[in-house]
Amino acid sequence: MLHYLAKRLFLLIFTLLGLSVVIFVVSHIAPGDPARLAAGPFATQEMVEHLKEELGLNKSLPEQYGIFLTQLLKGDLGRSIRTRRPVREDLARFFPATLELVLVSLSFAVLTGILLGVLSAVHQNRWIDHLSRLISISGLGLPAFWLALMLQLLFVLKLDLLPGGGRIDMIVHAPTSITRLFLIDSLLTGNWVAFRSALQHIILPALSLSFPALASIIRISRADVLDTLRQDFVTTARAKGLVEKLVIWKHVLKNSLISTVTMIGLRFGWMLGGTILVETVFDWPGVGLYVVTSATHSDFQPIMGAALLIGLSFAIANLIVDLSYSVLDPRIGYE
Amino acid sequence: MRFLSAKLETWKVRAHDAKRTVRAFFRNPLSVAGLIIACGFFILGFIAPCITPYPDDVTGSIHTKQRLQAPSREHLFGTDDVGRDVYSRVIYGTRISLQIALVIVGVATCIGVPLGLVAGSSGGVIEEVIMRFTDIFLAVPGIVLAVTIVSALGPGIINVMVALSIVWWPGYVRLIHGKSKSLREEVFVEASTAIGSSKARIMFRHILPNCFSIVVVKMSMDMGMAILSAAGLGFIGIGAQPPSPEWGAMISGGRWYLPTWWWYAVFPGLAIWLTVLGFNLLGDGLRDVLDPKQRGRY
Amino acid sequence: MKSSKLSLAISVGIITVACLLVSVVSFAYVEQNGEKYVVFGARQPAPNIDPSVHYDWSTRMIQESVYDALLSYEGDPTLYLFGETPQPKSPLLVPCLADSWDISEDGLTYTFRLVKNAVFHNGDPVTAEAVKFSFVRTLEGKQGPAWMLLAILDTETGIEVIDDYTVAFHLNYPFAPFPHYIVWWYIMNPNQVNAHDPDWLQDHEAGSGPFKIKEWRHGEYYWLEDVEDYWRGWPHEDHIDGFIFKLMREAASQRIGIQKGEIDIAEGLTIEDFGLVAELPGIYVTEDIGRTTFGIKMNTQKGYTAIKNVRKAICYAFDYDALIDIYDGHAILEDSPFPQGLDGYVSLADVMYRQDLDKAKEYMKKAGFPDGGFTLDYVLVAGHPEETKIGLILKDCLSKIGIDVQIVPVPWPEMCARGSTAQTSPDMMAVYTTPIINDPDVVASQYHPTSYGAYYASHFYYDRKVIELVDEARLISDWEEREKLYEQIQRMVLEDATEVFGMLYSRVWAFRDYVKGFRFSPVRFTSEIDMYWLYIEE
Repeated sequence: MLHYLAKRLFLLIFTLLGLSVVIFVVSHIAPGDPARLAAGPFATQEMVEHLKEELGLNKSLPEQYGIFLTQLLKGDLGRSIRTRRPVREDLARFFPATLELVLVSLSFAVLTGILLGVLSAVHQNRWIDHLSRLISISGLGLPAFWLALMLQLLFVLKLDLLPGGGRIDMIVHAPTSITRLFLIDSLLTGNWVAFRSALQHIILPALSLSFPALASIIRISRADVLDTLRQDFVTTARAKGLVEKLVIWKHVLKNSLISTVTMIGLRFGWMLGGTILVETVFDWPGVGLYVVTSATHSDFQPIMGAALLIGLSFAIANLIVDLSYSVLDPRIGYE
Repeated sequence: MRFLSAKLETWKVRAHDAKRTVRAFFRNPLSVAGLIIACGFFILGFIAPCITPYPDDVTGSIHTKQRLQAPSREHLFGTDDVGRDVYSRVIYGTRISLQIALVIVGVATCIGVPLGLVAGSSGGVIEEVIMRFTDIFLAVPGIVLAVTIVSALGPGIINVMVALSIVWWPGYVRLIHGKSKSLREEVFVEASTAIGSSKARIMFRHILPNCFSIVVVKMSMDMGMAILSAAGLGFIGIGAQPPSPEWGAMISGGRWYLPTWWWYAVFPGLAIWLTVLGFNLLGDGLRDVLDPKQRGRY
Repeated sequence: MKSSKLSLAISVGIITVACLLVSVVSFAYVEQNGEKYVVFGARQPAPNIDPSVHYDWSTRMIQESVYDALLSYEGDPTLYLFGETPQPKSPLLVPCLADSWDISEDGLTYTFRLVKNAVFHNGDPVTAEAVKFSFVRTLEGKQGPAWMLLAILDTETGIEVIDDYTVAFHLNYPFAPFPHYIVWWYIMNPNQVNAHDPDWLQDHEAGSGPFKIKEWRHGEYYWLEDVEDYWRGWPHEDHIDGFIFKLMREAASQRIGIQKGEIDIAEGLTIEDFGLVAELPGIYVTEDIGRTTFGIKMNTQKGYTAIKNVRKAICYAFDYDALIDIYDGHAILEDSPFPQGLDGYVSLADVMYRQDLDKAKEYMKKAGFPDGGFTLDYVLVAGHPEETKIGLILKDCLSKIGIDVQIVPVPWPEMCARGSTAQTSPDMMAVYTTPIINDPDVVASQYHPTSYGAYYASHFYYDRKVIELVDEARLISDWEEREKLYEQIQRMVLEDATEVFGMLYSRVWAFRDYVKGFRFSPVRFTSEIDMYWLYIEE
C-alpha cells in the first residue's frame, strides 16, 4: 500500500513537471511582447525595456524556465503580467470558490444521479424511469455554457427567482473563514443568512456544471442496477426472504456505487475544466473566470499557475478515488 | 481447396455476425435517431449553400438597418446585431462544426492509435516513455490545456483545431494501449507469438483489427465532444472569429442581447445541442452492439 | 404504492427547497447602520489599485476615490469651449491638494503650494515630502502613469521640497501640458507605504481622498466608505456614505440589477438595453459625448495603404452611417482628426470624408487599381464586439471597390507588438483612443516620430511639415498662436488620410432616480464616475 502511494506520488510529480514544461513552452511561442502588455499602452520604450529586465524576459528560454521552476519549488507562482499581482495570492482567493462549486455540482450529480438511476431501474417504465431517461438523454449534448445562459434567462431574467451572479449577497457578510467554502463555513458557524444566500447563488452554476455528469451517472447506475438485479446473489437474497427494499438498497446500491466512484475522478476533472465555461456566465469569482480573463489578455503566468493547480487537484482527486475503491470493494488490492 | 472453404466459412460467419449487429443496432430507436441526426448533419453541411436564404450574410455582408429583428417569415430565426440572418448562419455553422470535428477526431486518431498500438504491443521502455508522455497531457482537463494553447497561438478556427487535436490524441493512446495490452494476453495472440510471428505482424494482423470497433465507437462519440469543445472556446471568445458563423461564437455574441433579443443566442445553442446529442446517441448505439462489455461506461 | 409515496416525498422536497430559496430581494441602495451605500455595477475589476503601477477606468475610479492629486479636473470642458471665448485650459484644472501654482519665466519650474488642512486617512498631514515621495516612487517604478513624465522629470533633481507645504518641479525642458498630467499622479502617504511590503498597496490605500476602503473582496466587489471629515468637505449634505463597486461582467446581469434595484448605477448595458431601461420608472439614463475616438489607422509606410490614393479611396468607401447604427444612434461622427471638444479642435465638416463610392472608385483608378484586386488585413482586439462589427462593415464596404478585407482578431499585446514597427504594422488597425488630458498635444503627438512604437501611432505617418508644427506648438505658450498651428495640423492630416476617421460614442450610465449629483467629464476614461459628487435624495 505504502509502496503504491509512493509510486503514485512520484508519477504525479513527474507528470506535473512535464505539464509545467509543456505549458511553459506553449506560452512562450505566443507572438506579442509580454513586457509591452505589462507596461501599458502608452509606455515608452524605456519602460518596456525596464520591465523586460525586471521580468527576466531577456533571458534565454531554458534560463527562464529554470527561474520559474526554482520559484515554483519555493511556492511562488510568479506574477500576472497584466495586473502585477502575485498569482499565488489570486489563486488562494479564487480556488476555494471553484472547489466549492465543483464539489457541490459533483455531490449533486452523484447523489441525484444514483437516486434517479436506481429508481428508474427499480421502477422500470414508470414515470420516474421516463423522467430519468429524458434527463439522461437530453443531458448528453447540452452545452454547459448555453444551459447556464438559458437557466439564467429563465430563473433570473424571466422569473426573477434567483440572484444573477456572484457567490453571496453583498449585504450578507461572508461567513467566518474556516474552510473558505461558504456553504460549509456558514453551517459551521450557524450563520443561516449567509448559508441561504450562498445556496441561492450556487444553485444555477452548480446545476449547469453538473448536468452532463448527472446525465451519464443516471445512465450508468440504471444499467448497473438492472444488471445487478438479474444476478444470482440478488435472487438468493430475495429467496432468503430479505425485504426487497433492503436487497435493493444494500446490495444493488453498493455495487452500483463502485462503478460510479470509478467515474468520479474523471468527472471531477471535467467539472474543473467546465468551470472555465460556466463561471463567466455567473460571475462566479473562481479559477475558471480567472483563466478566461487571463487567456483573453495573453497573460500566461496566471494560466500556468492555474493549470498546475488544476492538474494537482485533479491528481489528488484521482488518488482519493483509487484509494476509496479498497474501502468500497475489499477485493481490489494494490500492487 | 479445403483451406479456401474454411476461409469462405469464416467469411460467412462474419457476414452473419455483421447482419446481426446491424439488426441489433436498428432495434434501438435511440441509436436510429442518433444515426438520422448525424446523417442529417453531414447532409446539411454539404448542401448548406443551396438552402440558406441569405448566403451573403455568412461571408460578411451586413445590414445595419435591420438589426435584431424578431423571427419572421423572412428571417426564420431573426437577425443578429449587424442585421444578418441567424437562420442562414446557423445552417452554415454545420459546415464549420463538421470541419472542426472531422479534423480533430481524424488527427487525434492518426496520432493516438499508432502510439497506443506501439506502446501496448512493445512494452518495456518504449511503453513507459509513451505512456508517461501521454499522462502529461491527460494531467489537466483538455479544455484547460486547449485554452492555454489557443491563447498562445492567437484566436481563430485553425488554432482551435490545432489546440484541440493536441489535447485529444492522448485519449486514443490510452484506449488502444489498454485494449492491446489485454489482447496480448489472449490465446490467439499468444499462439501467434508461439509460432514465431513477427511483432509487426501481430500488431497489424491481430491487435489492430480487434481495436477497430472501440475506435469507431470513440470516434463517433468524440465527434460530438469536439464540436462541443470548439463551441466552448468560441463562447469564451478565443475560438472561431467573425464573420465565421461558428455556433459557440454566435452564442458569445448573442448573450449580450438576452433576454430581449433571445433568438440570437438561443438558436445556435439548440443546434449544438441537437448535433452533439445525435453523435452521442449514435456512439452509444454503436457501442452497445460493437463493444457490449463497455455498456454504460465513458 | 411505494413509488408514488416516494415521488410525493420528492416533489414535496423540491417544493420546500424552492420556497426556501425564492426570495425577491428588492431594495434601494444598501443601508447599513443608517449609512447609505450606493452600488455601482461594473464589468471590469480593479485588480491592482497601486497608483504607481496600474491604471484603467475601473482602477482609476477607485484610485480617484481614495487618493487626491495636486490638481484635478472638474466639469465638462466642452461646455466652456462651446460657450463664449474658448479658453485653453484654466477653467477645468482646479486646485486640489495644491491651492495655487506658479510657472517660472522659462517654463521650466512649476511651484505648487499645498493646502494646510489636508490629511491622510491615518491622520498624517499631506506634506511636500509626501508629494516628492509619490512622484519618485512612480518614476522609479517605470510603470502605470510613469510614461507621462518620465522624459520630463528627473528622479534625482526634478522634484524639490522647498518647505513642508511648498514643492517645486524642475522640468528637463519646457512642457506646456505638464499641469494637466499631474492630475493623474496621486499622492501617497510615505509612512504607510514604507511600513508595508510593496504588494500592500495593490489591495490597500494610503491616500487622503474622500473615501476609504471598508471591505475588499477582489473578484467580487470593493466596498468603500466615506471619510466623514474629509479635508475638502463634501459638496452635498446628503452625500453618499460610500459605495460598493460590484463586479457584474454580463450586460444582462447589470440590466436586471438596475431594474430590480440591486445596483444603483450601471455602466455596462448594451446600448439597446440602455434605451429600454430609460423607459422604466425609477431609472434615468445619462448620455454625454466622450472624447474617445474610434478610427481605423492605416499603415502609411508599407503595402497598398502606403499609397495615399488607396487610403483616400478607403475613406470614401466606408459607410460612416453604419457606425452610428451599430451604436444605435448614440454616437457622433468625427469631423476632424481631433475629437470634438478638445482644445484646438476645428470642425472640418466641409472636407471630411463621407461615403461616396464614385469618388472612391475614382481614387482607386488614380492609384492604378481601377478594379481593386488585393487583400488588406484589418487587425482588431479579439473579442471586442464593436471593433468586430466595424470590421464587418469595412469588409462589406471595401468589397464594393474590389478590396478584400481579412478580419484578423489578435490579443491586445500582440496588436501592440504588431503596431510597434512600420514593417509589422497592419494595413488597417482598429483603435480606440481616449486623450487623457485636455491639451491638443496629447492627440497631435501621434503624428510625431517620438510616438512611433505606440499602438495609437501605428499609421507611422511621416510628414516633415507636420512634425515641425507639432514641435513648435509644444513650446509656444500663447494660445491663439498655438491654436492656428493645430488647425494646420488637422487639415494636413485629414488630407493625407492617415486613418478612417470614425466616431465618438456616447458615454451612457443608468442611475436609480434617488442617486443625484452626477457630473460628467470627458477627460475621464470610458465608464469612470467621480463618486465624490453623488448624493441621495429620497
